[in-house]
Amino acid sequence: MNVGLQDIINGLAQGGVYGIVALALVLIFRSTGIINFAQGEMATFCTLLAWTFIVANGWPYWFGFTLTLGVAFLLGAAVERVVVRPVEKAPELVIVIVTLGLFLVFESLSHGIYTGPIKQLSWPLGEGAVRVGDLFIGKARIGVLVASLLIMLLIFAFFRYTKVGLAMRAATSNPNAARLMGVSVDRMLMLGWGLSSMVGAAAGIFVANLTGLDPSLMLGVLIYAFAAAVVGGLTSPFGAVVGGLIVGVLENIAGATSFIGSDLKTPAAFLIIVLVLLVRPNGLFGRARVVRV
Amino acid sequence: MPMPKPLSLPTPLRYIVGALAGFLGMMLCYWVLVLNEEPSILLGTGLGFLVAWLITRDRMRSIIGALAAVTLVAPFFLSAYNVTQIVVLAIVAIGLNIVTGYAGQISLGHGALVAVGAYTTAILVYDYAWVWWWTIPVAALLATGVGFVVGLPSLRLSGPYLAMATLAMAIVLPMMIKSNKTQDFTHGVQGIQLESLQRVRECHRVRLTQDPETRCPTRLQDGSTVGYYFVDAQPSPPDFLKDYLGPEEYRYFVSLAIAAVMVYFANRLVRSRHGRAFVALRDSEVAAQVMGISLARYKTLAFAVSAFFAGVGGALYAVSVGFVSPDNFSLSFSLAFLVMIVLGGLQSILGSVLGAAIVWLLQLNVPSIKIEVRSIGFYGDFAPQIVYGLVLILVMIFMPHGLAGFFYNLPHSRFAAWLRRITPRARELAPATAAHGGASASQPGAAGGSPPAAPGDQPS
Repeated sequence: MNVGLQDIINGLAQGGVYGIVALALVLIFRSTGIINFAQGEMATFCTLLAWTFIVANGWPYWFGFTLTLGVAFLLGAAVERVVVRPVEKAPELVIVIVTLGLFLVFESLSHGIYTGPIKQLSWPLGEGAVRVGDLFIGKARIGVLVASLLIMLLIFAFFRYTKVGLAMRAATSNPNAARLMGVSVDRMLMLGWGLSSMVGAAAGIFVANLTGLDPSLMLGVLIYAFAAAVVGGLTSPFGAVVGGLIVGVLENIAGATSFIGSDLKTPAAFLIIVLVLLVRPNGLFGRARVVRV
Repeated sequence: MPMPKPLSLPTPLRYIVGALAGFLGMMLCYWVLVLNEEPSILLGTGLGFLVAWLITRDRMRSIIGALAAVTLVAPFFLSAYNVTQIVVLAIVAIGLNIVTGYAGQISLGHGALVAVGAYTTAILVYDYAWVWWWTIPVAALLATGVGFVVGLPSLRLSGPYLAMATLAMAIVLPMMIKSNKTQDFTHGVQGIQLESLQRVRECHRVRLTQDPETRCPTRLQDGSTVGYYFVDAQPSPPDFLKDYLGPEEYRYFVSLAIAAVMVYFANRLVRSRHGRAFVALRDSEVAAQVMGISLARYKTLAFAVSAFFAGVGGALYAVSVGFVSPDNFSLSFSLAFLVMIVLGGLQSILGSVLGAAIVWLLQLNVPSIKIEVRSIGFYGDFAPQIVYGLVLILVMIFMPHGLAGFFYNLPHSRFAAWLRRITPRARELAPATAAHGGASASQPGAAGGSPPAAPGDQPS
C-alpha cells in the first residue's frame, strides 16, 4: 500500500484531536508547570457523562454537549481547588504522582460505572463519506477536523481578545505582578484547569465519534497528545496544535509504509519524536526556560 | 516508670538487637498471643522495634534490624510468592530512586528496562537452555547498556521533555516485543513460560543418588559416564534444603540474598563521591558543573546504574514469576515504580523497599467497592485502583516526603511534642541522636519546647 493523500487526510483528522488534547495539556502546563496525566481520563469520564445525557436520557444533542462542557468545567476547577492546590508548591515529582492518582481514580470511576459493550455517541451530522476526486473522506472526520480547528480558534480568541484571557496570561507570566494589579492568581489557575478540562471533554466527544465510546477511550489519545504537546513545545499553544497534526500524520504515514507496518507505527512515531526532541530540546515552538542562578 | 539507661553497643550489635527483638516479638504474637500471621508480623515488628529502641536508643538500626527479622519470617507467614515479588520490585525501586531521587532525572520508563532484563533471562533459559543464575549478569549488563543509551537524551532534555522521552520507551518496548517482525525471537504476544519447564542437561560426572530417574545413570554400558538428567528452569532448592524449603521459599531467599547485596551496593554508592555528585547535579546543574562535576558523565552513569538494578530485578522477576509477556510491562508497571519511590520517600533506600511492599500489598489486598443507589438507578463496581489512587493523592498532600520522611520527622513532629508534654518522664525518650534532646534535658523549664523544624535531608 502506498502512502497517499488519503493517509495524510486521515492523519490530519486524528491529529486534530491530538492537537486539542495537547492544547488542554499546554493550557495547564503554561500556567502551573504541571503535566496533567489525568487529562485523558477526566475527558473520558465527561464523555461518558455526555453519553448518559444524550443517549441514555435522550436529551437533544447540543443541549447534552453544552451541559457536559459545563460539568467538565466545574470538575476541572474542583480538581484544581481540592487536589492540586495543596501540593502546588511541592516538588515536580509529587505533583506528577498526584495527577497519576487522579488518573487512577477517574479511570476506575469510568470503568466502574459504565460497564458493558462499546457505546455509540455519534454526531447529528450523519454517516457516510464525501467524495473528493479519488478520495473518500468520512463526514465524521471532516466534522472532527473542523470542530478541532474551531475550538483552537476560540481558545486563541479567548486569550487574545478578552479581559479574563489577558488576566490569565498575566497570572502565568508573572504571578506576583499580576497579584499587584488585582488579578486573583488562584482563581485564574482554577479557571485554567476548568477550561482545560472543558477542552478535553470536547476532544473526548470527538474521539468517541471516530472510534466508539468505551472507558479506555482516551488512554491512547493522551499519549499521542502528550507527544504532540512535547513536539510542539509545552509552552506554545500554537505548537501543540501543529504538533498534534504532525503526530497524527506521522502515525498514519508510518502505518501505511510497508517496512514499518501497522504494528510498529507507534514505535516509529515515537522514535521520530525523540529525535526531534534531541535536535530541539524544548520542542519545535517552545521557548527555552532562562534561569538565573 | 523509670526509663532504662541506653546500652552503648557497637553498631553491628545494635542491628542484631533489633533483629532479635523483632523476631522474638513476632514469635510472641504468633505462638503466645495466638494472633493471625499478618497481625503478628505488624504487631511483632512494632513491639520488637520498641524494645530494641528502648535498649539501644538507636532508631534507624532498630528499624532496620526488626525489618530484617521480618524478611526472614515473611515467606513462612505470608505467601512466599508475594513476598518474593516485593523483594524483586524493591530492587528495581532502589535503582529508580538512584536516578530519580538522588540524581533528579525523572524516568517514566523503568518498566522497559525491567523488561529487557526479564526477557534476556527468559530467552536465554528457554531458547538457549542456560542455567538461570548465569543469565542474571548477562541480563544486568544488557539492561545497563540500554540504560546508558536511554540516559543519553537526558544530556539535552530535562523535566517534562525527559519524562516524555522515557515514557516513549515504556510504551514502545512492549509494542516492539509484540511486533510480528521480532516475534520469532521474543515469542510475541503469548510470552515465555518458564514455570514447570524442565531442561535436559548432560551429566559430566557420576552422581551417586538414591533417585535414578531424575539423576544420571551411574555408568553407561560402554563404560562412559555421560548421562542426562533434568533440572527446573526456575530456581529450585538443592537436595540438602529440599526438606525445609519449598521452591517458592527457595526463590524468595535467593532473591533476598541478591537484594541484600544490591541494597549494600546502593547504600555505598549514594554515600560515595559519585552519590554526592548525583545529589549535586540534582540540586543545581550549574553549581555542580562549577564544582567540576561532569554532567554528561554523571547523568549517564546514574541511568546506567539504575538500569543495572532494573536488569537484575527483571531477571529475578522472570525466574520468580516464571512467565514473561509484553503485557506484564505495560505503562502502569513503569509508573508503579515511580509511585513506590515517592510513597516510600525519595532519596531513601529503605523508603524504596517500604514503598515496594506497600504498593504490592495495596494492589493485592484492596477490595473493589460496590455502590448502588436504587432511586436513580445508579450502580457502580469500582476497581481497587480507586482506593489506590486516593491513597496516592492523600499521601502526597499530607506527607510529601513519603514514609521515610514521615518516620524521620516523627520525633520532631507536633505529635511527638504533644506526647512529650503529656508524659514528663518521656522527655528522656527523646532520641539520643538528636542534638536538641540533650539541650532540653539541661533546661528543665523548657519541657516540650518545640524542637527545630526537621531538616530537608533524609536518611537512607
